Amino acid sequence: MAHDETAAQAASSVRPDSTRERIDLLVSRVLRWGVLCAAAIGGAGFLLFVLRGPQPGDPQSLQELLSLRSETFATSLPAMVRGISTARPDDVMRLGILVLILTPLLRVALMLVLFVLERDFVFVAISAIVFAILLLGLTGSIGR
Amino acid sequence: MAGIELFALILFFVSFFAGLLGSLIGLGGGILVVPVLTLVFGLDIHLAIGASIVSIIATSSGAAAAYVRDHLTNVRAAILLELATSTGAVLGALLAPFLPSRALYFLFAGFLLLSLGPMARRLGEEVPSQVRPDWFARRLHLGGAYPDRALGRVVTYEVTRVPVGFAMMFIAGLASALLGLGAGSLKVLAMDWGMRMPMKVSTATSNFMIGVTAAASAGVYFWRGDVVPIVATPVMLGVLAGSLVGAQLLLRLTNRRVRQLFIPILLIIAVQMLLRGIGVW
Repeated sequence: MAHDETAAQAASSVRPDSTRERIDLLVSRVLRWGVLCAAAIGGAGFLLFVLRGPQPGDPQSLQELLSLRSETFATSLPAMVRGISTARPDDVMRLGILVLILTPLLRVALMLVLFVLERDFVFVAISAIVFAILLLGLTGSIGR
Repeated sequence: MAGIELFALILFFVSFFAGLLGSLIGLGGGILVVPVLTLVFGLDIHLAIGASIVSIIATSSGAAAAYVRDHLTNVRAAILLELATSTGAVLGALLAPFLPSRALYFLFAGFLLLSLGPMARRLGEEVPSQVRPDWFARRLHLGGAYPDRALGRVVTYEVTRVPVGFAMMFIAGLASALLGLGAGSLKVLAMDWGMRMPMKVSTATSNFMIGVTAAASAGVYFWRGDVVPIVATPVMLGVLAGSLVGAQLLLRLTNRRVRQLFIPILLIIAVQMLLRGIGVW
């Protein structure tokens, strides 16, 4: 019985070192700040909407909003920058959402760097592939 | 105009519950947000999915900050399995024009229903015992430990049957690309049933992973305008608030209780998938 237990311990898949602690703390911090940024920008955009109301070109009533069709408001980075410079509520809110969408990408990038520092090359390769696929998806190269 | 603001307020509260529930059981909250937007408000399904993708990422990043800090999330297993979900999603995106999505809904539903039995049988189990790590788990150091506040001790656990979990995650990725879902339910099953990880670790790790799955398809929806700011912003804010509360709750719940919560939700999702497959909704 005692022999069995030591054998099980030798075959354990739990890593004994403390690098896990450091990785967890950093990943957690990046996620927290990303989420706080997204919420602050989104909240500011929503406040702008309440103060300024729907802008020309936006749906003016709830009925109009709910009958929107897919692909009506295609957007791009330059369009967003123009909108934000004139404090257009929709574009400020878009920026908040974009920051939120970027948080998972950021944490995969962080993990990639941490695995490189740890010289854990199997996981460097894994996170590099995940990062590349994510990047393709975010620029809109993958998908319907 | 006041109508839009009231709509946003209602959406905020619905999303709060979606975030609360989603962060507890490792799902994205799409199961609540999409039906409310389409069935109650009559919004176009594509715009509802756009909002649901935002809800998935918000649940994931919102709760993960707490789960990762408390070591409930298995970060190494997550990135390995994200390799499976993201390659599955790429294949899904490529195959989308050739595959009938109806059959997929049936497949998804059938799979969830089949898993109910094994799930229910383990209702009484708190932490899986007698788990022998397989070659992959040992080689990649996938096992972990977390301080369990409900049990008042550190739980050390092993991981096994990595290829089974990997294959299930590949299918989850395929399904999420084809059907526009987070497929969190499949992810939880892959870890809980497939790889024998503790229930709370499975939901926390699934919660961590769904953000990446959703972000991969978010770009398409975002740039083509299917993420409507005035719809998605209240969803984001509500879900974030809900997931912060949910994360504090999960740390204090037992694995048993989480499983009790998960089973009825699994049933609801299965029924939703069946209805979509039949074409009722």
